[in-house]
Amino acid sequence: MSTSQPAWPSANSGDSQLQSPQTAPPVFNQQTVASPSLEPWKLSFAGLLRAEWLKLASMASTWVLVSVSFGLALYTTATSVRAGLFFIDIVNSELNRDLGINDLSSSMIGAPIYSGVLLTLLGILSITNEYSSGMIRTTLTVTPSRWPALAAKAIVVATFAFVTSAIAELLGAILSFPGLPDTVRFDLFLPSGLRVWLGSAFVLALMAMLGLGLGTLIRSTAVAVVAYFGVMLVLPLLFLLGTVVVQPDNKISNWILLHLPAVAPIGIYTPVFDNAAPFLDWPATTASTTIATLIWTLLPVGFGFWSLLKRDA
Amino acid sequence: MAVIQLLSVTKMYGSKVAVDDLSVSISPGMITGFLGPNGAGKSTTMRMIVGLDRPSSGNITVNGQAFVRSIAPMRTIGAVLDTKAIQQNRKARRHLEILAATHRIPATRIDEVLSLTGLAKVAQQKIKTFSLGMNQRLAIAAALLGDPSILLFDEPMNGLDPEGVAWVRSLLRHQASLGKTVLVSSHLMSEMQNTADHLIVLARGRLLAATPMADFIKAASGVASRVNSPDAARIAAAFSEPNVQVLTLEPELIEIRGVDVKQIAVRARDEGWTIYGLNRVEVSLEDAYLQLTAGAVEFISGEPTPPMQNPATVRTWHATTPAPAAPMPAPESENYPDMPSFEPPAQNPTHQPQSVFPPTTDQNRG
Repeated sequence: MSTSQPAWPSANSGDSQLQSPQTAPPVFNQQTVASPSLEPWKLSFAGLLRAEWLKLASMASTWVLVSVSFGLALYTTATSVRAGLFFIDIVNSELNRDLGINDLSSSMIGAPIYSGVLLTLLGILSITNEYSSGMIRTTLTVTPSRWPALAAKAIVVATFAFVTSAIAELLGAILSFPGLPDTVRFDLFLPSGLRVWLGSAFVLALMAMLGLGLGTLIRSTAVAVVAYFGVMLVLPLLFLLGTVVVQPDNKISNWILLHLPAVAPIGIYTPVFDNAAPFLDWPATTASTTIATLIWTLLPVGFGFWSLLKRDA
Repeated sequence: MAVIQLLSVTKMYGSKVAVDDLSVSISPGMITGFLGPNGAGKSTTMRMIVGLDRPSSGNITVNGQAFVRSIAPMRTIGAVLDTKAIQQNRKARRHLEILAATHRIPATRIDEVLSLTGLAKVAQQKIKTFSLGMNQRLAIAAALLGDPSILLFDEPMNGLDPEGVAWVRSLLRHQASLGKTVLVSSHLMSEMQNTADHLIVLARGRLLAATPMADFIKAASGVASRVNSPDAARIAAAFSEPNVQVLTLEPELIEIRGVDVKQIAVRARDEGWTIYGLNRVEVSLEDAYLQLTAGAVEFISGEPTPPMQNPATVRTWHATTPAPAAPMPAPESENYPDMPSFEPPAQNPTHQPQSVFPPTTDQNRG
């Protein structure tokens, strides 16, 4: 113990409630310990939400990940349209194409691809940090029924991911808009634009929850991260290579590919699958990919809850 | 009425039995000492009480119901299970704020426990800068935050300086005097003997004793005689009876436990033994505890094992040698200046009880 830190509270140190243990049994000052036994303190879900927010906000990794995620979402949104309207043809409806209109919201399509990785890591770390530090034992002693603590964490992490992503994308779009040609329409508050803007932020919130589910299930940061990259990056790649080489036009393999967790979310926030239907034989729709994404999220989250409730902490 | 009730609780980790058919109850208004060597199942039992681990079989109730059902867990149990159950990269006060938030406990209570544990000045420091003792105090502050009616402290004195030990002890006393239920574990009898009112002794997951401290002392302490004689071997042979233990300390020095000096003196006259020295020694409570648990120690270090490894013999000896109300020797008295020190009359250094436990104190989970 360094000298700057106070010794055990005793009569010798200034801020004392105790007599020196050497001379007499230490006696507590009744006033300090006055038993507030009648206080109506009890576990509340609102309190758990606040506790989980305090936890998330007091982790250094949170702010690193969210800053980078925020920066990437802002940067990709601000530059993608300017960089050649790369995504616009995927999204634009036939009507818009005929009119020569491009929607500004299409600039947001890339945001989840980059920020998704970081916010999934945020979800993973928000729980694996508790396991690695041992904090989980304190958390679960305070919330022995367990599931409310994880539910509160899921809500806080997902909301945080949603809000920061939505703000970053909105800022990026607004920043990029002044220099764009007249054919670009500011559609962020039209239904089609809202779908891309808030839909992509929603997908990022789902990814954070997926991370949380994986982390709860696996408990180890490293293993959870490896599992995540395996599912999100390696699996689609292997699958793609396999199907292209073996059977390029198999309907079943196409269906699986389009509903993998790395691909399906784009169907939530863009009409790409519906728009492509007349031209391409893609066996996917907005509905099917949305359901697939929800299942991919709820699967690890569900197993996470199950694991939390069933396994020893 | 017992506040915590364990009924036939068994905990298996794989095929390893950590707690074996444990039935015990813990009552309010006193300090219950939870004793046993490392790996005896103390921590596992405490983890099961707060619901971190589930019993493989059996039932645990806290205030008549499963702790999981408590609507105000922090008002029910305050636990210090390990001081590392904390996120190191936070400020101390923030850690308490997080816990307080869950139960809507006001900030004034945080200030209260901070000053109670002497952490007020370092509340804005990161926890990772804390010493072991400060971590311990923070864990205690967190446990007291909800003003719980039950305190579970697992090895709270580990790594504390003497003043800290005295402080924890007085805190536990005070909480017990308020009518709260206090369960405190230790693997050191010396920590417990001035602290606990009631003892629960575990070894290898089994209950060895659940008894008031006074009874344990009465049953455990006993007399022994030390004989310095060239006829030591003959004397040892002469006293090889079931209720008697003979230790050979040196070739010409033996300790006979369970036999008074007078008996030996009379016998020596009859047998014609040469006696250079004959004196009485008190057997310490620490010794008695070591003997009680000796057969059940799991981690045997490279150190020489202490005398009297056979628990069966020890128990017989306990049972047949009611002790005079002897003062309690404190084997580690030099470390605890606040405790009364009673040196054994025979100043032979070999009498110091040798620990069979490894010197590490942080591997007490289990």
